[in-house]
Amino acid sequence: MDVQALWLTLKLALGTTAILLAVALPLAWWIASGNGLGRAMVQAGVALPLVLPPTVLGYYLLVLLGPLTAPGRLLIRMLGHPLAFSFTGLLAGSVLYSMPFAVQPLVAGFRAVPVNLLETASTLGSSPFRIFRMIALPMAAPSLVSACILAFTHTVGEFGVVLMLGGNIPGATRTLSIVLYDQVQDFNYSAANRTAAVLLVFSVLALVPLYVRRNANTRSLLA
Amino acid sequence: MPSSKAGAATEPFITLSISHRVGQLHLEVAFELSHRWTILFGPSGSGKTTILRVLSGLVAPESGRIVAQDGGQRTLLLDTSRGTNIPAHLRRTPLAPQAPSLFPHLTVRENLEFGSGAHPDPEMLETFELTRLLNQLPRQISGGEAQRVNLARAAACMNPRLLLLDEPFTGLDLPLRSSLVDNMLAWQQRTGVPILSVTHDVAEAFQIGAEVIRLADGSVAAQGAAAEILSDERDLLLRQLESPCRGSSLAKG
Repeated sequence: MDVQALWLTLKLALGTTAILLAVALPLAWWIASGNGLGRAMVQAGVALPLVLPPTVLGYYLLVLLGPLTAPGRLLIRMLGHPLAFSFTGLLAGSVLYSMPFAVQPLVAGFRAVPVNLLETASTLGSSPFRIFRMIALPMAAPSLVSACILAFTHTVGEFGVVLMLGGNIPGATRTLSIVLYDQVQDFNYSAANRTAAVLLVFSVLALVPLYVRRNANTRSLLA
Repeated sequence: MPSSKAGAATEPFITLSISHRVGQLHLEVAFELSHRWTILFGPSGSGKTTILRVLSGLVAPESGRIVAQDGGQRTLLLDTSRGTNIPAHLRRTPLAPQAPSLFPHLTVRENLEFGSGAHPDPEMLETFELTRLLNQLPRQISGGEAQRVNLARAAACMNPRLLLLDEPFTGLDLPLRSSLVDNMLAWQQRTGVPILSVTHDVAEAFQIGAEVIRLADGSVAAQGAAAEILSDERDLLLRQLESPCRGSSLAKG
């Protein structure tokens, strides 16, 4: 068992989930609180990683963050090294790649909060931020849990973006899914079995709470 | 501010004039509020609720102006010609919507505290008969109780300029409605906060003894005391109640 890769994978997934929460909460609230072309375009942009091959996303990020483009050169000058082939670069790629998995459940959750509750809260003297904190966020709490679980597990399972953007550097960018790929390349099937089993068990364990909650909610609606 | 005598007229504390289109209806409304309790009276679809929503800041009309006079202080709540539109949360015009929009994840106590940030006033809890409900969640209380919480929550709001009630007693049985009207009047007697409510119920307007603004086809048809403005409706209602044939046909129907 490659403990270093396991630790790196968990670190990447936790970091991605934390950053995504900070980005997705305000973004989803903004998307859910109106209509219009601007919001639709942002939503399409956020949803893009759902249909785009991960290698394509990884490729564009690799080019964008490299010395061939102006933003890439600026980043290299600021950091002193390229963002690609580093943990930070991998984190940036993962955030983009898992963005729809965090944003979409939150948008659905916020949209399900009845407008009349938000309006009533504002006539009672609550600022938009207080309405978000006291009404929208608690009422969308189940969606927040879904968003966290999905962002986390999706990051654990990513492969294409990591391979393109991160390469295969032990301790920096070598995650469990890359380890599995290497083990299969080396015909080391017993090791590959163990790695695959860890990823499988982990994914199932993470998804169970999601559906336990959902089914409990459905039952309470019928009762 | 209005005087302490119930129903007595004072200097106008709200002056409103708006023009707004909602679906088929073209609202062209101007009035002044100078009584403790004023009722917007009119059939369904006459724009009553829209006027409340404009006053509370939830709807921006196409054009219009709303001025509030508070003691010696004059506040422009809305003036479309100047681009002024004070947002709902800064207007101090709490609205109790027709369907009690209680926050489902908060207890009755937390709902009541939402607009004031302070513990509910025990006297108010007594007035609205809410003392024993404080720790319940909205889904655990009855429709009538929810309506009482809805009204009390708006009334408990911090330092309201004007309380807006959208059909506060519609759909409630007669004894409950009577007791709630008494609750509201008792609360108003104590606090002196003016009320603008919406109804299409003649009996309710008479029980409150309020000033009535009658709306028809999107504009103000008349304004004055209930006895004067609604005398035709009152006569009709009395005839219906007294006529035995009408009564029996209703009972059969």
